[in-house]
Amino acid sequence: MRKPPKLKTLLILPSSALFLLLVAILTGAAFFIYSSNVRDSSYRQMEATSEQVLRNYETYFASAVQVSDGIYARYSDLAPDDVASLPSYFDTIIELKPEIISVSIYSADGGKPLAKNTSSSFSINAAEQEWFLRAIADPYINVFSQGASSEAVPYSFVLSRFLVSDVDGGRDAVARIGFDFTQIVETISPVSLGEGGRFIIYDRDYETIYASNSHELEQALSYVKELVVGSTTIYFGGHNYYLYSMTISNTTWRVAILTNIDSITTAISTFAIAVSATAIVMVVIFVVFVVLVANRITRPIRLLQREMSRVEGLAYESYLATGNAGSREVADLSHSFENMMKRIRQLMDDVVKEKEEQRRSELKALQNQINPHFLYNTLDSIIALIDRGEGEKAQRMVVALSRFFRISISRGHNIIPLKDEIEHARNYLLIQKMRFGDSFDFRIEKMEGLDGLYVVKLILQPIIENSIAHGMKEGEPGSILIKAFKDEKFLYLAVQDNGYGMLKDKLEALDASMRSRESYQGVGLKNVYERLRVYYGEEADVVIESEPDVGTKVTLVIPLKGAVQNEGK
Amino acid sequence: MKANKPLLLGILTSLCLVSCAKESLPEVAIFIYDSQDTFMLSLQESIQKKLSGKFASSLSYAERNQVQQTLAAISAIEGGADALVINLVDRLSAGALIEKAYQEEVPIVFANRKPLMSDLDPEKKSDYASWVKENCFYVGSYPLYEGATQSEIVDSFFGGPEGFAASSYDKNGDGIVQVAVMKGEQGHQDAEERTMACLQKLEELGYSYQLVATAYGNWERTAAFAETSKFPLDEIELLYSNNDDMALGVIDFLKTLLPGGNGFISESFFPIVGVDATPAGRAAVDDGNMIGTVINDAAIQSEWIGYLLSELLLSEELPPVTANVVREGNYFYVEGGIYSSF
Repeated sequence: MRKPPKLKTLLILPSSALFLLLVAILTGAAFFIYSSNVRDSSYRQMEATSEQVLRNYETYFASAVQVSDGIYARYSDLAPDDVASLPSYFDTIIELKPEIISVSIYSADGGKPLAKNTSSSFSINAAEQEWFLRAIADPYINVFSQGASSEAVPYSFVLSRFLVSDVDGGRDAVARIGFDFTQIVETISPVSLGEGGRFIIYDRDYETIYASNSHELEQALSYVKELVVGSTTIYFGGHNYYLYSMTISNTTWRVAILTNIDSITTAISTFAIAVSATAIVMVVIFVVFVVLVANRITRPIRLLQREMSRVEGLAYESYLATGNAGSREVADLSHSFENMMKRIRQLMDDVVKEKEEQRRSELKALQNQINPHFLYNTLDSIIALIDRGEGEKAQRMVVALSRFFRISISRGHNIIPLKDEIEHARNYLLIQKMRFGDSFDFRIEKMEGLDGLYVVKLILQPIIENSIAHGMKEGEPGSILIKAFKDEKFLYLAVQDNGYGMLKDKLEALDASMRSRESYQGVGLKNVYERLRVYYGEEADVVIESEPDVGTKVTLVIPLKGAVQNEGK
Repeated sequence: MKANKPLLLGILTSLCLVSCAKESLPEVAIFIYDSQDTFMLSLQESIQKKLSGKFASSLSYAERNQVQQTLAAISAIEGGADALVINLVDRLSAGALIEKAYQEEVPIVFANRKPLMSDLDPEKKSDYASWVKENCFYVGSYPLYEGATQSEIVDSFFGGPEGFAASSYDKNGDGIVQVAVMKGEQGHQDAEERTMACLQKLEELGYSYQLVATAYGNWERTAAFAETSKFPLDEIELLYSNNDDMALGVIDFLKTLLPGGNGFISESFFPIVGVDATPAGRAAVDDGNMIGTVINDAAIQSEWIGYLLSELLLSEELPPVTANVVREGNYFYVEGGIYSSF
């Protein structure tokens, strides 16, 4: 199973994610609304401006067409004799319309010059000129063509028109009207198109008639060609443009207006940056805030958690600083934990005390296992001595027995001075020696400086009893050596005999049974070992050394620090 | 989630059905140059009737504003229309619209206002030119026929040149017909060709004529009404009008000169002949205020617009041209008939 996420993560992640999402939506919406509003309104404005420019040009071309219409109408019902009246009519036109440079007409059949205004001259080889051919090809329209370079003005165009003679079909003609375009493009063309902005008039083959800015004109025209008509936004030469392109009515010409919209793009990107920055700041503030709140909530819980895991590691002494609980629930929780810990500590103390009690009673029980047969046997020996009239010996034995028991009882103390314990051992040995008719000797060697040490009582006697029972060779004088000495850490009490000794196997079996946890009563060695361990702990030990035919040595190892203090009871 | 699956599937299927149902009818956007032109309205109604069932059609009027029409056409092209039917405001704009339509490969059928020859039959050989030849058409009346037919009506009315010379219609008794023409629009092919054809035919029929007045009535009744006031009414012995609406405008003006607004126009002033045979025009013929009108057959024109769209969008075979239809390349001209009591 997956581990559930941390509380802090749960508090921070979802709320931050939600906030981020909301801010992102808000930012996106704001950006979308702003940019589309700005675009819409400025494009609408530009479209309106562009349409106004287009209308101005259409009005201008319409007035040009009006002149052509006038000539057309006049020619359509013109009597053959009246052709001579045309030059003065043309002169009048030029007087009224200063933008008109020349007016002339040519016969449709062959391009023969028919009439012209006074100040201009006839077009040479009219029948081969484009304006003438196109007028013949589309007889019902006004044909606009780019002016001949021969005209003495920078921008000019030619309006040519097929003239139908309603009077006589054979007299159809073509009119050619030359216009000076210069002044009008300068007056009508919009000026505020921005850097790189331009105004282009071009024909259906995308040949430029007029361009207010010829820089990168090819490129601009390629975009115009791509658009055909309508409006769009384009980017070239490092600038953004709004491109409006439309046909000019009455002509086959079109107009393209490129307005620089860098400022709009800049405004939108500035807005985008500002909004994004605000959004980021908002998110950061929110996250920091949430982290702080989450910390405030989770820190006490984390502390609690840490303390609890320490308790799991059996450290029951933990305390909590409940003052910084963060919230009431956590404060209550900490308080309960505290109470629980107090209770646990109390229970632990109780358990320790109980253990102590148990140890004492165990010790008592073990000490009380002194073999009562020893008493009966000794009393029997005394009776025998008295029977044999060895009163003095019997007296010595009674004295020894008396001392032996005095120390055994020691007024109920468990711990007695080391010299008393040794005295106790000596009395025991004396009694046994007398009983067994001096079949063994014993010696007690005691190191200097052992005064003031205390030991658990009755620990030597069971070992000595073993030595007498198992360590004596038949028919050989036995010898038992009791040694008491110490080093820096331990007090050693050794009982050595010169008996049969033990084979290694037996020695190991004995050692194992002594250390085994199974309790079976009555074996003196195990009894001593257990009492030492109960009282002095793990450091205390009983070491058995033995060699067949040489003897056995049992050493009690007692930690000094346990031996220096009296139990006081 | 499992329970939702059939529901989701159902929604998707129904959506698909809706869209499929929509898909099955190609969208045709119709553009009319003006919502006030009587003939164009009848043509538009006729087109819509012909298209219904086979196509989904939308309609927009340009109110004589080419920019407005161009923008509407662009949004239709970009909005996924399958074909356009355009009655242009300015016939010179056809080229730009075809170029724009080519970008999305949307076929166009032009109605009533004829694109230039160079628009429907580009000279240069290119993908564009071949696309245009396959996808752009014009369907309209046959102005040469209409003009000539106008003169045929006149001939029946007068009973030949001799009949005219003998009648009271030859006001000054010179045997020459003093003619006035109420033209539609300068530069409109129909206006010019109708005018040219009627005068030519009149001459062919043996009449001598003298053009005493021409005016441009802008196809409108009110404009024609105003223009008539400039005519030398006493001299005129015959009036051709390029359409019925303008003829009615002339009649409206002449009626203002009659005491009580009553009396036959032909008798009091001069015979008038129109084109289109709109309901109002037919009524004027029935009343005797107009000697006749040439039927501009909206029904047949719209039928052919329907044929062309079916060929372009539904891959149906184009029927062979009938006697009253003249095909010249991508141009389809429809001959109407005569509506006259003479």
